Amino acid sequence: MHKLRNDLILIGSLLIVISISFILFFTLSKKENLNVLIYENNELVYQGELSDEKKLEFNHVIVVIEAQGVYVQYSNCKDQVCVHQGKINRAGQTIVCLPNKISIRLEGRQVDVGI
Amino acid sequence: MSVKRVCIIAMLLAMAIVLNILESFIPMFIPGVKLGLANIIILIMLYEMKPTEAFMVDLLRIVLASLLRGNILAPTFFMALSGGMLSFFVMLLFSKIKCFSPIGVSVLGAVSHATGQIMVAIILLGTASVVYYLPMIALLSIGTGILSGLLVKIYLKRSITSRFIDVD
Repeated sequence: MHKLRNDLILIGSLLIVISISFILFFTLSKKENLNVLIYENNELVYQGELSDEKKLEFNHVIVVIEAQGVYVQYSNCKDQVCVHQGKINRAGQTIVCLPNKISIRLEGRQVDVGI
Repeated sequence: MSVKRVCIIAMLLAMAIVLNILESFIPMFIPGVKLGLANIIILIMLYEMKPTEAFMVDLLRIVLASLLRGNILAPTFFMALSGGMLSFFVMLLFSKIKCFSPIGVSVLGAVSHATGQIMVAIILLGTASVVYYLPMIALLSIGTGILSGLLVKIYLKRSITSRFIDVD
């Protein structure tokens, strides 16, 4: 009986923790929007949503943010890998410009999880 | 170790593998959520046999079941492996401490299984957004944990294993 009471306390506290995290996740996360994160030298220099359209320049790299995706329009580097990569529009995708030390990253809730 | 004991352990391993494969045919609400019936066998072994034997059965169950289903070394295999290992050690700890009944231990095992899976999924997918699945999966795993814990409790009360081999 003593153990059964402990079980109930355990299950109850787990349920409380789960419901708190449910509430936290729903309030913190905006619906299905992706966040654009731009890093220069591993430091975050820009953070914003994909939905607000912008044209930004960091270290000779012009980044265009549109509702359909993010792409690098121009870069002064030699290899142009970042320009050729095209648009990225899914969470977890990144564009990296190694010569200029810029990395653009998309984060959000739309993830293809094949569990 | 007597031959009889080896046979019993082999049979338990076979049952765990069969349960593991059978439960993948039972649909749940969310992809990746399973009933965790194989956990029943592991929990029984933790209570009635040596921890090393239970560990071997748990490890072999994960490897052999994914070998039979054909997804060995796939992302799902690593998720199952990490979840299985984490839940094993959590259940081992709490079954020795004896502050919870098998139901509580089973719930803790189920929740830690979900946590371990999500942790590896974060590493494999390279994005932390998978963590949003955790509350949902943890909630369902509490339910399945109670179910399997109840079954283990009923089994242990009848002391079936002790008819065949010495119980720790």
